[in-house]
Amino acid sequence: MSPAPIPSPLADERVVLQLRPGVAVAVRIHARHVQPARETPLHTFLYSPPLWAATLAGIAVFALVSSAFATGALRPAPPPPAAPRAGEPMPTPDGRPILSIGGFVLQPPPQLATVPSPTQDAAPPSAETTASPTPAAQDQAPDDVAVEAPTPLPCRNLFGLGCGVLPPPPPKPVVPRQPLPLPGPSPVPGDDQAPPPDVSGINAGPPRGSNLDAALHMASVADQNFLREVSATPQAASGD
Amino acid sequence: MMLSFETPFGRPLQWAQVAMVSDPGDSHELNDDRCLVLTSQDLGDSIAPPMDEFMLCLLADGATGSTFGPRPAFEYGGESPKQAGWRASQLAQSAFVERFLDSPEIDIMDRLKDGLRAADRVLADSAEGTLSTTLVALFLSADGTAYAASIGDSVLLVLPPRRSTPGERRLKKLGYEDSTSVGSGETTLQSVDEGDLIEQWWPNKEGGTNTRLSPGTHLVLLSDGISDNLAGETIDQLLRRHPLDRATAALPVRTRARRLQAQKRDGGSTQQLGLDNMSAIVVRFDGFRRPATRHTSPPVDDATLICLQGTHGGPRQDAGGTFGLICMVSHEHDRPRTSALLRYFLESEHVAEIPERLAAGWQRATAQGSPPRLAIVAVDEQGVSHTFTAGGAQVERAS
Repeated sequence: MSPAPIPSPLADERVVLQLRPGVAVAVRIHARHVQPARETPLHTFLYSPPLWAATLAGIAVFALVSSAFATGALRPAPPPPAAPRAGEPMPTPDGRPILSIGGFVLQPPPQLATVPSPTQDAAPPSAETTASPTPAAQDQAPDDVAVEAPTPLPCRNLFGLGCGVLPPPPPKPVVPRQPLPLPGPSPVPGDDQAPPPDVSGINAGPPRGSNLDAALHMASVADQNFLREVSATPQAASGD
Repeated sequence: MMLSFETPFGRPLQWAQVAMVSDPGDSHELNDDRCLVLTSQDLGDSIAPPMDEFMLCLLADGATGSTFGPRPAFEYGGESPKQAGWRASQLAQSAFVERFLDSPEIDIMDRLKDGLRAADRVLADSAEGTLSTTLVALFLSADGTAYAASIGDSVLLVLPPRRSTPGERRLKKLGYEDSTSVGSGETTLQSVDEGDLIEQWWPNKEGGTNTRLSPGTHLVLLSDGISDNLAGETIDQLLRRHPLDRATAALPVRTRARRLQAQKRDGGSTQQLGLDNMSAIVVRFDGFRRPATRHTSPPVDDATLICLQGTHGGPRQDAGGTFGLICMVSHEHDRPRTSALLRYFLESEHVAEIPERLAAGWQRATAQGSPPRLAIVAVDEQGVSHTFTAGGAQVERAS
């Protein structure tokens, strides 16, 4: 049996090596050009943990601090209280520790205000302030200022940091409230000397949007009607 | 340029990737380095593990001091007829391959030592001149069995996939012995302790229960042109960050850049960098995954698929390049005698063309036993394919 060399230009072609019928294997040898690997700045960055770890840490600190400023959790420190003049009482110094970052102080999270109950409505206006102001705010805000409950604002910073911890709003200017015009009582025949209803506490009105005024008014009218009917009934009986 | 092999069993194997590169550098006229990777796949179940599916990697760095005698120098001609480093590495690898495949030893390390001894004898006894080379050999099997042996200062680096334990962080390396070489004849001397002459490695050699290779391990065979300039850590980084073939191709490029930097820093010449031949074989063991269709249909109990790829230099500066061969051989009556064919194929590189070399190799193989039935496709350094068949086998274009 003689060898059978078959030189042929089969470069890059798939060929079948067959030992005998039914026993065959398809194979291929092909040449290819391979570009040597190059180290790019991206490779250097990705495979250098000190580099990307420091970058991540820097981004995290920046996001935290910027969120703290954006949400008002950090504010400039208030000016020191003015020295009392002669004859004025000396205020008690605030000895509580204050966390200060470069002249900025960390504000305590305010407690959420609750809706005043009708019983609180009758209380003096100074008792309606439920949010606990900062010491500085306490010094500045007059007692008769009504502070409304803070309404939640949409979160504006990217990471949502600090959302839900709302700073107390600035005090509103004092505006004297006008008493609500009440309808006069129904004329009671024969009872012109009836004392007018007591509306002395009407200035301590309920919060805006409350139906308490209308409810009180209705109750008052109903009460007076009842009194009128009670007082009118003996007269009618005596007339018979 | 690299060669890619496609077979039904992988490229050329499924459980490992391999790439090689060779660059002549600028301080030597000829490329004396040589890379060779041989893979063998039993198509049936007639061969026991770990020899049923294995990879054998050889890297040789022919000594610059190797010289031809007057007659071979005339025969090979070339630009530097006396320089015989390329021939030393060629003869050493071919003798090693034949002896390794034919060795009666069962233990793989003993087979590797047999191969090294055979290579040493061939060079020491060569009548062509004074020939010597380094030679590092790596055996890797589908089940993770791995062994390596080395004579000389060509390096094997073992880069594990993890560096969690002190043992994994310790650098495993062969190639510390720069005072020994294949061709000195020392392996035949009783006075020389073989343990001192042949460096050996296997997984967890220092201690440990698992003597199999971990999937993801890189095994890097380097000539001193690269290993003297690039740190193991740099090579490790390169292999982890890039695909295997691109990382392998970048090894000489990175070596050149590193040397250029050093020359600029020291005020040396940037035109002549003094770079030695630079060659590397890089293997990544991926772990065994048996394919859905492992064998041919119907199964072939008497055949083996052998793939051979390599780089080599030669007697001229432009000689050499990359070559490849796929051989399907039957062993119906005898063990495959392809070892003799492969040896002659390698030794006759600059003597004849591929078809003649295969025919002469076949004659040698048949002289030692029953004529094998085989079919071969080979690609030469110019990218031209050649086929060869014997014993009734055929090679056809795939439809």
